[in-house]
Amino acid sequence: MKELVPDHQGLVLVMLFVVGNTLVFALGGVAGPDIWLAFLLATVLAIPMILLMARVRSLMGGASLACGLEQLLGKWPSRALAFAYAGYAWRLACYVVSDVTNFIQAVALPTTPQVVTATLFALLMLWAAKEGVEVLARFAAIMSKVVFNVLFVTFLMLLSQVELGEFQPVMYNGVKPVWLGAFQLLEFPFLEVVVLFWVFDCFRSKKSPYRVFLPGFVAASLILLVMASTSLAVVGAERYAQFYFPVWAAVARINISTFLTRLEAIIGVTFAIGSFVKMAACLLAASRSLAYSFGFADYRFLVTPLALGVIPGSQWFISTLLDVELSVIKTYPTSATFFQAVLPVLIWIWVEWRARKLGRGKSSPTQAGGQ
Amino acid sequence: MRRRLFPMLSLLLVSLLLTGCWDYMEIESLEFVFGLGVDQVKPEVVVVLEMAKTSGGGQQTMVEPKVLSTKSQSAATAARALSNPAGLRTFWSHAYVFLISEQVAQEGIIPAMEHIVRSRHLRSTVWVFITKECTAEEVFKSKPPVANSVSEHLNSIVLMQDAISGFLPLQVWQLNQAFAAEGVAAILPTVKLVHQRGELVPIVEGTAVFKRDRMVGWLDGQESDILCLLKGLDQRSYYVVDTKVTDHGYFPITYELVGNRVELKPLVRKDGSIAVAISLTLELGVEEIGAAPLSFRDEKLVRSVEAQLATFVTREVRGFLWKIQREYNADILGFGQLFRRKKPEVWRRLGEDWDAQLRDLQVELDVQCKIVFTGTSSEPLLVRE
Amino acid sequence: MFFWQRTKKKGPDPRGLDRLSSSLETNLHWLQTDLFASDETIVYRRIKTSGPKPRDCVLVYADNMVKHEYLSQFVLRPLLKAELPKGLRGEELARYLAEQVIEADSSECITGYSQIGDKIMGGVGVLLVDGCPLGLVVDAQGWAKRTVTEPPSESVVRGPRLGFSEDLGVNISLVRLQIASPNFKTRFVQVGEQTKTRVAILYLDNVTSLDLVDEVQRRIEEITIDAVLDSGYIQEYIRDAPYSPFPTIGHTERPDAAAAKILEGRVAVLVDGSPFALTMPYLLVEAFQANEDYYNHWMVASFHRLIRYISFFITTSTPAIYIALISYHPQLIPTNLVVSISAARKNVPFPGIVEVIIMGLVFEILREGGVRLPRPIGQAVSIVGAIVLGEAAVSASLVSAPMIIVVGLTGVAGFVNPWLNDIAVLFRLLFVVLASVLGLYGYVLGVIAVVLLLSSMESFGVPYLSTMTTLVPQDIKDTLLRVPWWQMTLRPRYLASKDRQRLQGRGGRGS
Repeated sequence: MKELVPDHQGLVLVMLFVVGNTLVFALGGVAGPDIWLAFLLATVLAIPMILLMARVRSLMGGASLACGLEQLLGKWPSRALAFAYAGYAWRLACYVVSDVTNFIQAVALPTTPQVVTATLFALLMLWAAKEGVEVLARFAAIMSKVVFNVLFVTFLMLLSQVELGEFQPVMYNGVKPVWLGAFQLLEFPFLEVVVLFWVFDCFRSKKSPYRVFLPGFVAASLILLVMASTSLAVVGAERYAQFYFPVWAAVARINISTFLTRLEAIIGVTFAIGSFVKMAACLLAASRSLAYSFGFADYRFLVTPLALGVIPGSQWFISTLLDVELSVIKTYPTSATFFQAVLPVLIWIWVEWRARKLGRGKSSPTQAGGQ
Repeated sequence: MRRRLFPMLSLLLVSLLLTGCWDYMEIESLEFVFGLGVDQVKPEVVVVLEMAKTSGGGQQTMVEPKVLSTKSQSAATAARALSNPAGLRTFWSHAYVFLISEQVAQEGIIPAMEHIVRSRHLRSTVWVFITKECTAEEVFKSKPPVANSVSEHLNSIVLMQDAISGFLPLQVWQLNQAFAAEGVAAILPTVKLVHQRGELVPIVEGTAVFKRDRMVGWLDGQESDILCLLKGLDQRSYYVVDTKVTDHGYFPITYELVGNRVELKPLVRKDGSIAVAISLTLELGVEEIGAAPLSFRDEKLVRSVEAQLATFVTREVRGFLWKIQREYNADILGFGQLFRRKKPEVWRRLGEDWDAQLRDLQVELDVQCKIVFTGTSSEPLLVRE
Repeated sequence: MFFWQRTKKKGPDPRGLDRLSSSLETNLHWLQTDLFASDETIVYRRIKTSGPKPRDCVLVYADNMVKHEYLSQFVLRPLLKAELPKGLRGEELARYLAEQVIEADSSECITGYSQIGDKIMGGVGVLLVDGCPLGLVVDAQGWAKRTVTEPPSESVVRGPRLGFSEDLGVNISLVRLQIASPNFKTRFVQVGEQTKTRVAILYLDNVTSLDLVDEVQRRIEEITIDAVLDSGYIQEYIRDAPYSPFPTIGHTERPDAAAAKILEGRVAVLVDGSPFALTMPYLLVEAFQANEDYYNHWMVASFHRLIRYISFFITTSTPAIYIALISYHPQLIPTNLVVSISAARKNVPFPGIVEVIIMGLVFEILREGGVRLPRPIGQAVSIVGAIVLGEAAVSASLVSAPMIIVVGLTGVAGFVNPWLNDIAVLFRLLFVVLASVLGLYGYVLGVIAVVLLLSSMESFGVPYLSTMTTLVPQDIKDTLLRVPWWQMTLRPRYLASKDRQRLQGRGGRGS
């Protein structure tokens, strides 16, 4: 049975995936006051990768992921690829879960064992992944209204505390911090979108992948840009990178006529919801690609073991908040570069070559960048 | 498989949920700390807290303040140790104020406040004060006339600061920001005790000036108003100016600041020296002219009054600048930050010894005053011979 | 009770077929001793026709199921006066009687023996004539009926005051009155092995997708059940997501509401004996729409709809959020409030979570106690419960005053959405439990679970959350808001209607 996600729901899934679990962290902190430049740079750098991904999906036409891959890549290469990405997606799911549990422990529940929150999240994402991508997209579509409206209102409430001077001087320390910030952003969260490649089963039309990935990604990166810049302008450029959760810290300062105060919980709530979408998508991607790599038609029986594995996994990879920060800088980049940049480019080149050979490339009017 | 999975999962869930509510606490078992203070850092940390004993419930809630203090190795241990005499778990997230005594401020306030910034329990929106000529404990033990507790008293003073002026309220996070930023010195409002009806009552007036984390001097209420003015804050402070109204008569006239616009511009002169241009545009209202025969319909006279006001403000600002540049040498107006943001190349060159630069920094001052409001009458009180 | 249902091989027909005998006495004997044995409500009215050769006739009917005057005036009287021509036998005789004697407006012939039972239980008279192996059925149904009144479960301030009654025919006519179009079609299905209840499927031929109608019919036909006493039986059999507490089939007591749903492209199902029409597919939004929304000014209606969404949030979430805040995040409550809550809870013996559950239970008891009582007594129950119990409990420090406010608010907000009230109770409990373990994050996990459940549900192939998930303006117009009628030019897309254009001209964008 094909699982077909309407384009607009796929789009919000992409948005929530990107925004979801990154929101509260000190994104692009190394860039300091040039954070917005780092975001813009990262967005510009990410767009070709996104287009490339959409291009590969688009070449599959209306075929499902499994059929399309097999046709484009050949049986064994595609299976090996799926196996690799299953590992990547599963580990990402662990990362996301541990982000959430660490966050909850840090801001709200210091003595509750992380295993408890991790288990509850794991059970829920197990359910979501079993229901499949259609349900997940619907879930994202309805939750996105809550999340993005909350973010918008938060943004409005923060505006009165914004100090635009914090963005000056521009590039005081040269372009290096901007590049560094941009690369950190690319690796987490921008190019993690590659996981979504394995989440969608099939698309409505050849143009759909472009319609889903590109606007969804751009919108999400703009939202992140706005939220990160706003909170930087509120907490101060110097302090921004010192916080684990600058957005949280900024929202804690909202004080509107001494009545609307203490609102940071809503950021926590949106963070939990967004992270949930991301971890469920990762789990779905992991099970789908793993099932495919072993040649099973249905992935659902793999969801439960993988989801239950996430519970210890989340504690294994990252156990404290410090690890969350360190992993982004130290351990994560190598594998991230491989899975997010090197492999996709290789796949694309391979696929273009195969498609040309199969005579499929010509029928697709949309070259990369066409949409 | 499917049939067995569901009971298994629910078993897992139930066992998780029933094994404990780790962070569950009953709200009535908390003792809300309203204010805390640090009176001494070396050799031991002395922490004072004011908490609220709540009773009543239902129709009427009674709040009775209690003050406790303890000595301990660090602020964190002291804060925890206070739960013991309190008899209930002290809960810090509702603290209104954080008082630091003068002595601690002179020794450096970072050791006193670091725990508060790091701790999850305290909110970064706590108001910070320096107690002047008294300790935090004395302040907490004074008797505010209306409010239930000293902390609430101070909080409500802060909330009407635009109406009473004379100080700049600051929250912990703003203080941090000032510490963290380059080219800005921190300031904090001061609390004093005054006698009223035979009892000591805390008031907030004046400003403590910091250089890095050490207090280097005070500004009184009037100077704090000038500080607000230069920072462009919305503060309706009063100025009493001896104004020449007739050819030979000077009268004290009270003006209220209604609106102000400040522009600070960093200048780099041709010879490489630097300066700051401050242009102040003030809108003032007239609150009281006393016996002055001043008619605001007389346009020439009004212009002259405005000019005198500008002179007055210029004089005050000059005095203020001299004090902060020369006497305290603390960049509380953030001239350094201004250069860093607007003229980064200058800051790169001169930022290293900014203290010396600040001492000799030229300030070009341009003050414009305008009377925009004269109450309900434009004429003086009529007194017939 | 339904003894006549016991079909036996035996009967008046000597060959053992399911046929009537031509001998009146044999037929009667069998009826009295077999089909209607020991049933004293069956009336056997024996008469003779006039003329030189009178014939024995017996009119059989169930007492009080028929219109007695009608039968005596249009069947018995002409029969008594009739002189039957000689030599008529069998079918000819029956036809003669039907065509020339009986004055009633319908009469048909039946031959089967067991058919008689069904017919008589359906409220008709059956005339048996000596020498004729057929029964003449005279339609004279006339049992006690409720008149068409305003539905008590869905009263409106503005709008039609008609409500469905228990009679299928009347109900269909009530809908037909609203939709006077030849495109309005009805299909009949019979359900219930014992009750043989008639079920009607109503739809608009040119709007509704026939696949949907076929699917509804298929599901109804697949029902195997002995009795159908209310549309609720059907509802439970044919609904999607049977384990989810959310309704996937709507029900209404109002013909105008049913007509409106049909006109949007939905299918309505009417069941004989039930004043509740079922409408399908049913989406979550419909729980927040009231028929009155469409009769009031659109701004007012939109506001009311907003109130309903907010109330649903309040009724499901207030206790959980309260528990989360006071037990896990007191730092998020404004200081003044936290002090007074803490003071109010000082002498209360129960932990907050227990207090919430007890008070929630008390409220549900009061509600359940009041709901089926006659109105004056019901009010007394709620007054005793709310004022006396609440006030006394607070004074006795058994519960805290804020808790009473929370419970009261929760309860009252629940009544705003009557369709979802019962479900709200379940989710309230779930949220409270989760919130008491993980605070606000537990609550959020609960919300995630509920939204996941909603996302995974479908009603007759339509996702349950359609119009809430889309960004298509045309579909949103009737979701959070109710835009003016002239703006709603299209029928809902998700119903896959054949003809999406509702309005021509003004504002019509075409599809």
